[in-house]
Amino acid sequence: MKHSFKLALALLLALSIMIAGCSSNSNTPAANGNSKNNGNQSGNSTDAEEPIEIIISASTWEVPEEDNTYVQQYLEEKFNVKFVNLRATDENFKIKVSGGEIPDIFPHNISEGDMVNWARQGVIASISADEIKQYMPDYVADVESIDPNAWDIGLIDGKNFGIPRVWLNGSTGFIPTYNGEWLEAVGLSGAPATLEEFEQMLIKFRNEDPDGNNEQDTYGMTGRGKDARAQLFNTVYAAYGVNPYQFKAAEDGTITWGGITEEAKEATKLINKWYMEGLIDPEFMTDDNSLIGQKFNSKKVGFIETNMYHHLYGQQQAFEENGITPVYGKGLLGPAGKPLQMSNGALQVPLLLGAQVEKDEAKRIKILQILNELATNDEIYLTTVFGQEGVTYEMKDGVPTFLPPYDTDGDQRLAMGLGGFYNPFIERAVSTWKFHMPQDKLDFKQQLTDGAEVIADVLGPTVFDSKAKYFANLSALQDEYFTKAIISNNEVDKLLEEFKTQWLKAGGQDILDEATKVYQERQAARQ
Amino acid sequence: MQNAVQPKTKRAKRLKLNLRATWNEYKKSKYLFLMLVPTLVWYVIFHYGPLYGVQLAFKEFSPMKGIWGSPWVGLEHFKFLFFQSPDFLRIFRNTVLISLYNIVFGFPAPIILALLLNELRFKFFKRIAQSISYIPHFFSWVVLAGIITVMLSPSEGPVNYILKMLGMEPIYFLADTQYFRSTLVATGIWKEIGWGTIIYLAALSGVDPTLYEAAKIDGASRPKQTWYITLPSILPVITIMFILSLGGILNAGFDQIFNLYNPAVYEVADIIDTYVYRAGILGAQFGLTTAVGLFKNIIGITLVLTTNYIVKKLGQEGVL
Amino acid sequence: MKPTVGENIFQVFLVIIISLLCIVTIYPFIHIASVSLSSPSEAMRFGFHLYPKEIDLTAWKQVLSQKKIWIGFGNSAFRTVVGTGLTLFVMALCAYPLSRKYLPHRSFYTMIILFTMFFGGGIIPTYLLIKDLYLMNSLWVYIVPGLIPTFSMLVLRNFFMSIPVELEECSKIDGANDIRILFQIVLPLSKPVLATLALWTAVGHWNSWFDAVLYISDQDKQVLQFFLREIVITNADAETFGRSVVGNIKYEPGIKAATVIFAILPILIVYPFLQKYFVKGTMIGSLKG
Repeated sequence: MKHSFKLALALLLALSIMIAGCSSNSNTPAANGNSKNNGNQSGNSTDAEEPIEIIISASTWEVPEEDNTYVQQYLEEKFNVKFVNLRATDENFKIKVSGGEIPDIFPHNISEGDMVNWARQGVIASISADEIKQYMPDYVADVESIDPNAWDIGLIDGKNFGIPRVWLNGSTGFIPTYNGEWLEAVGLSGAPATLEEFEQMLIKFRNEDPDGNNEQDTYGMTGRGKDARAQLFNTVYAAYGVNPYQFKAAEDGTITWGGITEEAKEATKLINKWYMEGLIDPEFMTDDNSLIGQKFNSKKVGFIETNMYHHLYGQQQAFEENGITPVYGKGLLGPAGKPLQMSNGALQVPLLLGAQVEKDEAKRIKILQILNELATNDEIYLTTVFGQEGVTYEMKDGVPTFLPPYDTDGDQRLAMGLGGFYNPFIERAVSTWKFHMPQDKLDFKQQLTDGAEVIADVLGPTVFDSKAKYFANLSALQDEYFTKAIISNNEVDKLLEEFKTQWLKAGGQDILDEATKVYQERQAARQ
Repeated sequence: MQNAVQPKTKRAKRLKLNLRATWNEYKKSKYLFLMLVPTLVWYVIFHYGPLYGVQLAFKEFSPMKGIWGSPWVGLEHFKFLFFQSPDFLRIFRNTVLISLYNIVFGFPAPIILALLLNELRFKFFKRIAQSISYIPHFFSWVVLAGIITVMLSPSEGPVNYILKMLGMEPIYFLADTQYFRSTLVATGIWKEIGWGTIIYLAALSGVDPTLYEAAKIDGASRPKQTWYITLPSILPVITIMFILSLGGILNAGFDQIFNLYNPAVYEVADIIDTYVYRAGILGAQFGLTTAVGLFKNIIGITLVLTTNYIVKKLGQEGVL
Repeated sequence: MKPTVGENIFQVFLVIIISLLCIVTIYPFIHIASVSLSSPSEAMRFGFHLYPKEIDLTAWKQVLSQKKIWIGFGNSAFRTVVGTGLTLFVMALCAYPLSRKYLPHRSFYTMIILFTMFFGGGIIPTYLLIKDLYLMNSLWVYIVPGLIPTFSMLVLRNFFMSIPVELEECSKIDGANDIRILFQIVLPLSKPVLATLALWTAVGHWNSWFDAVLYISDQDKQVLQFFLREIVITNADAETFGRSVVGNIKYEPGIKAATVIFAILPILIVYPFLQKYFVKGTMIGSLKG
């Protein structure tokens, strides 16, 4: 037995080394699938320039199943390129990258932490801002008109990574939305304007049977506790002038973190009080956006705070079908002294390009040129996002509307190649935003957002060393402590003090120091 | 001189003979090898092939350099795990604790049920009961998590409905750190209790009926019969099953926890496997997760070898 | 002998206890099934759901009209049927030689295989291997990398070992080789254990989703459990499923319930037919293992 075990081990080692040797050869960081397409190209006429091959993976959500869709063919012809479609999901994209499959154009929804890691590992291309400005002049003008600091986000170790992106809707706030029938049923004349009125509403929604079924089965509100924690009870925190998951400029010019401020503690105390009084749905900690929407629409809760105006615009029909008259409110007047709403901010993580693009100048320039057109050229934007006029969409008052079946069937749109897979700049450039803004939507936006003041993260998705290093763990720590505090038995003070100490110790202090430095440098540069 | 040479040639001869004998043996079983070799090749490709990746536990993985080209970092990952990261103690503690609870409460459950079923006189009812109790075993945790979430929901679930009827406050079992582990254990028992009885029922059916006859004549009561005859008869099976479950102590049940947990209960629910998933697949920290995996493998194999040794000492046929 | 009063009471007590257990086991499935058939307001009602009160088939219609549900169903069925068949075949090829005492260096080959139960290379090298073998985004990735479940194979080996050698020796004298013996004598004798292992493998195939997450990016190659997870656990699908397609999110509880029932129905249908085999088979297999 012993002898054969040794023998087995030796043989295994030998074999595994052999195999490892084989696979390491193919481990070189070049994307696969290139060889298949080379054949087609050799037949092209010699005077035409060889099409440049671009590996694209701009979306993990809207991925066409087939190659050579309408949009792909259109773009290939227009720009004399050849697309290789790298299909990935949110869950396996990072493994693909680790396995050496690196697209030329990355998915648009990369987190800032991954961006920094990949920048350091040499996975993504650094591109000079000047070059981007040179080849994407229209787009850069658009972006800078929204936020001149858009370049800050992609700046890692003094080099620029990726193409800056802004989200045009992102600067608007989250709209507190109430169930109009319920407000009426409990005798309130409109949306609460102050924190006190809001509290009264919560009490009545819970105790006065607003849905009239003679059972105490309704709650004033629930919260987004499962994911996107910045939105959790954001209306209440905003009334205190803070969001626990955002950086905030303190009065002395330094940067502090929302979660460790006195304001956040006071707001949490109030929420804790409401929780203890049974006014908040105890399921809030596992509710995500779809569950919250479900509860609002099926009249389990009478208040929802996870939508911005454009979400609400799209949900008007659903509200109507469910017999709900939404009443849109403004920020609540509270200790902050003025009504505030939380907002995501316009800045987003840049669109990243694979490292191989850095070395291939022709390809790089081509990609930048294409991206510029995708974002700002009317015809190209319409074709990649809405398809063929008269077939997939028609223009109504200057705004494209999908024709059936494309209006409801997402699969049909994907089969055409429409959407984010070939165009990572949908609703990301001022020039082409008009196609998403019919008059009634503009009116709706004005009605909901005019005069609203928002609080946003002063730094946006900026990345710096200590943030990249500690942030994920600190966020997890914060999720835990805030949940515990909200459902605790009057222990908010103790728990959040404990949290503050731990947060600072586990890297938070470094983050604050560095954030303050970055912030002050930017302030100085601005003046 | 001659004396020295002779044994050498003798040994060579013997070796030659041995080789020849081995060769003959192999020739005799050539058809067996015709079957075995393809499967061994499969094992080598799919199990030994990726083994070189273990080196990542000692490297800082960079996708651009590949596994072989990534720089060595020595024991950095282990140092980080054991001394710096606050996570490790927690995931290790959770893993072992959840496993222990599973053993303490989950292990005896099917034995008790098997004993009860064994006492049952109505054979038809017994068969139906068995068929029903096996059912949850066949469903994935994805399915069961969907069902359990509804059952335990504080606002629509029947469990909390009962609590409300009894005048108690609703409990959010899946998001309350106080209850989450108990919920895991309870749902685990719910899924596997019926299936677990199979082996004990088999052992019980093997108990010599004359023993009971003799006991009855001696006037032993039912409980006494169970205690003095039934239990000792199935003790060997219980022992093996128990030792096997000790061997798997670092597998606290990825599928179950992964589909049931949420950030509110990470503190008590995060185990090694869920951590590896989050840090590795979502966080792309492959060096670190390989180190965790290696640590887990080494503990795991030690446990299995130890328990196997104990089983053999106890005079049973080992698992290996 | 007539049972005493005490014993009768004990029997009643047993029946009650075991009935309760059966109710606890079966009730959740009844609850979910009736929720899936209920109107949205009834589906959200707090309390027990023993049967659908206000029958509303909308949720089922929505689930069954989803293309991906059927794609997932087809792919899961493929991997279950083909995967189980291939696994049984290959497992027998592996287990039989290892069960023969006269196989030279038997323990050495067994060690090679046992070792793999405890050590693996990790996510990245496995991923690279799958990629190099052109299994990415292919339905075969569901079958080939897990072709031999080692534990099941050992159970089968142990069963083969328990078959009396005399049976084979007779046919050997008749000139049959090992392959013929396996297929003509040993396998027919092993039906119960094969049925059990088939059930294990099939259930494993039907229920697995993790490989799909890692290796499959095309929606048309995804398995049912993957979509099920999207719909039931992560709610990732609410946008397309409840809201924009149908324009109403209030059917979500019903849709989730219907999806769950849809996924377990095939198992429930096959279950009664296989039951008599697997109880017998598991007893044989596990006692030896």
